[in-house]
Amino acid sequence: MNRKSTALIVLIAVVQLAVPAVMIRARERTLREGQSFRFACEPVDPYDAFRGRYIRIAVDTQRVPWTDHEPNTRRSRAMYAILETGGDGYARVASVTNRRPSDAAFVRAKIWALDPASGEAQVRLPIDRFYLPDHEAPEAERAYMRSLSGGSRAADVVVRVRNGDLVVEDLLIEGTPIRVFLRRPPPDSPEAFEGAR
Amino acid sequence: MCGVARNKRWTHWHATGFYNVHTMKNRNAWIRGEIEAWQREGLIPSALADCLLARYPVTAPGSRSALQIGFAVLGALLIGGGIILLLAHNWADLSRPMRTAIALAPLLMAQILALFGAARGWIAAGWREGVGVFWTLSIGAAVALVSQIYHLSGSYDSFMLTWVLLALPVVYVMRSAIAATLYLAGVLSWCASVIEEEWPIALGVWPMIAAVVPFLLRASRRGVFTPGLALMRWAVTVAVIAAVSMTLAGEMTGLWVPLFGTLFSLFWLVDERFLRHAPSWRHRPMRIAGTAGFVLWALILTFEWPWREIAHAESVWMNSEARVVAAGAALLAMMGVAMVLLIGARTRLSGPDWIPAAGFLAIFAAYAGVAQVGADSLVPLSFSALVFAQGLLVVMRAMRRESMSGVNAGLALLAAVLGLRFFDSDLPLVARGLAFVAIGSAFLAANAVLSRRLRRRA
Repeated sequence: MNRKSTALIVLIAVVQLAVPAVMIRARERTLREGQSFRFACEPVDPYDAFRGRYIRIAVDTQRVPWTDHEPNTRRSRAMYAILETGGDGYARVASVTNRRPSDAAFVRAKIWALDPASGEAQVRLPIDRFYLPDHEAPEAERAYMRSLSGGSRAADVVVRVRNGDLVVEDLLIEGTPIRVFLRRPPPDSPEAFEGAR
Repeated sequence: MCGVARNKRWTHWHATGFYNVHTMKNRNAWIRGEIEAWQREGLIPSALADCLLARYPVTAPGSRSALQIGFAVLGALLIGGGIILLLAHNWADLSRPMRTAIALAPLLMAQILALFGAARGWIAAGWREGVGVFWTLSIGAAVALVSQIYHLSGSYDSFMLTWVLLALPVVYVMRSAIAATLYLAGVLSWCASVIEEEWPIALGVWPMIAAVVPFLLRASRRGVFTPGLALMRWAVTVAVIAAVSMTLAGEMTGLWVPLFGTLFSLFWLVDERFLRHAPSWRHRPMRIAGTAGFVLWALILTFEWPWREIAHAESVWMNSEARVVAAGAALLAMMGVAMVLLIGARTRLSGPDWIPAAGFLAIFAAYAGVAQVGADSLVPLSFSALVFAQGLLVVMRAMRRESMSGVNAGLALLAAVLGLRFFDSDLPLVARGLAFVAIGSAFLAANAVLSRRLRRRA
C-alpha cells in the first residue's frame, strides 16, 4: 500500500470529521452552559431538500441603539447583539455593538437595517428554523394557527446563549414543548373531552 | 530481479481490473503500465513519462467497462441520496448523541472504504468513481444533519461552501471525475446563492473552479481520455461560462460583448493547446463551445442593438467603479492569456481557424471604437462580412478535404448570415432574393460535386 496516499486519506478524513465535530462540540457546550432566553415567534412550515422539514421561526427584532456605530458599514456585516429579558419574561435585543461585550449575554448577528442618521440598527438573529420529523412539521403549523385563532400568545422559542454562540433548544406552543403539544389529542376530540371531565 | 518485478507488475495490472479489459486487446494499456513503472523506479524523469504517456492515450473503455462505471456511480448516487433522505426524515425520537453518530456514520464509512481500497491497491475506475461520489454525498449529509440536529440558522450558502471545500480533496484522492463534476455543481450553486448580497465573496468561484484544473491538465498531459474525464471537461466548460455570466458580464453595460467573445476564443485556444490529440469530439467541449459560441456571438454582433447599447454605456453604469474596474481587468487578463496561446498556436492554424482563434481582437477593437466614437452601421456590416468569410473558408477547406459535413457546415453558416440579413429592411428585395438563390444553388452544387467525387473514389 502506498504510504503517502494512506497518510493523505487519513489527513483528509481527520479534517472532514473535525469540521462537524467542532460544530457539535460548540453547540453541546452552549446547550449545557449557556444562558436561557425565550423569544416570541411566528412559525411556518417549509422544506429543505438536504435537511428535511423544519418550522421557520420569525423573531421580531426592533431597531435598537448602535453604541459605536460607523458610517459606511455593510448591511450584512456581523455585529454583536446584546440581549436582555424584559418585564414580560421575553428576551429582546437591547443594543448592538462592534466590539465583543465582556459582561453581557450577546449573540453574533448580521445587520438587517441601518439608520446612519439616528445611529440605530436592526439585526437578524441566527434563529430561523426548528427541524421536526417530516409528518410533524405541517401538523405543528396547523397547531400554531389553531392556537393563534384561540387568542393565546401562541409560539415561543427557547434558546441558549454562550460566548456569542446561540443554539435553539426548544419551540413552545402555548408554553408546552412542541413535540409534547403535538401528542396531545385535538381540543374537539372525545379524548380531550374525557380529559377535561 | 527485473523479471520478478515485471511479473509483479503484470499481476498488479490484472488485479486492479483497470487494465484487464485492455491488457490483451490494447497495447497502449500495456505500454502505459510499463512507462508508469519506469517512472516510479526512477528510470525516466516525470516530464519524459508525461510525453510518452501522451503518445499512448487511454481512450474510452469498452462498453462493458463504461457500463460498470455507470452502475457503480448510479449505485453510489442512489445510496448517498437515499441516506440523505433517510437522515432528513429527522429521527427526533432518538437521543441527540445517537443522531449525531448516525449523521457521521456514512462519512466515516466512505473514508474507511477509501482507505480499504488504497490498502488493496484498487484503482479500477468503477471503484474510484463510486466511492468518490458516495464520499462527496456523505460529506453533505454529515454537515446537513449536524445543522438539523442543532437547528442551526440555515444559510444555504455557508452550508454549500462547507460542503464543497471539504469535498475538493476527494476529487484528487479518489481521482474521481464524477466527484469533481458534483463539486463544480456545488460551487456554481454556492456562487448563485451569494452573488446578490456579496459580490466580492462570490468571486471566490474562480479559485474554486481553478482548483480542479490541475487534475484535468495532468490527465490531458498524460493522454487519459475516459468518459468520466469527458464529462468533467464539459462540466468545467459550463462552469466557466456560468461563472463569467454571474460574476463579470453584468458589471457594465455592453461588457458582455468583448467578454464572451474573448471567452469563446480562449476556449478554442485552450483546446488547441491541450486537447488537440483527443480521440473524439466528445472529449473537446471547449472546441465545441469555442467554435459554436464564437459563431453565435459573431452572428449576434451583425445586429445593430449590441453596438447601440455599448455606445450609450456611459449613461447607464450598473455598479460601483471598483466592480467595473475588476470586470475590465478580468477581460484584459483573459485577452492576455488568449494572446499568449494564439502566438504559441500560430504555426498550427489554417484558414478558417483564425476567425474563432483571433476573432476576440476584432470584437475588442470594435467594442473600444464604438465605446469611444459611437455606433456606426459599418460595424455590424463588418461582422456580417466576417461570418460570411468564415463560412466560405470552411467550405473551401472541406472541399479540399472532401468532407461532406464540413461543406454543409460552411454553407449553413453562409445561410445563417444571409437569413439574418433577410429580415433587414434596408437591403433591396432583389439583392436579398438573388443572394438566397445563389446560396441555395451553392448548397446543391457543392453536395453534388462532392458526392460524385466520393462515389468515384469508392
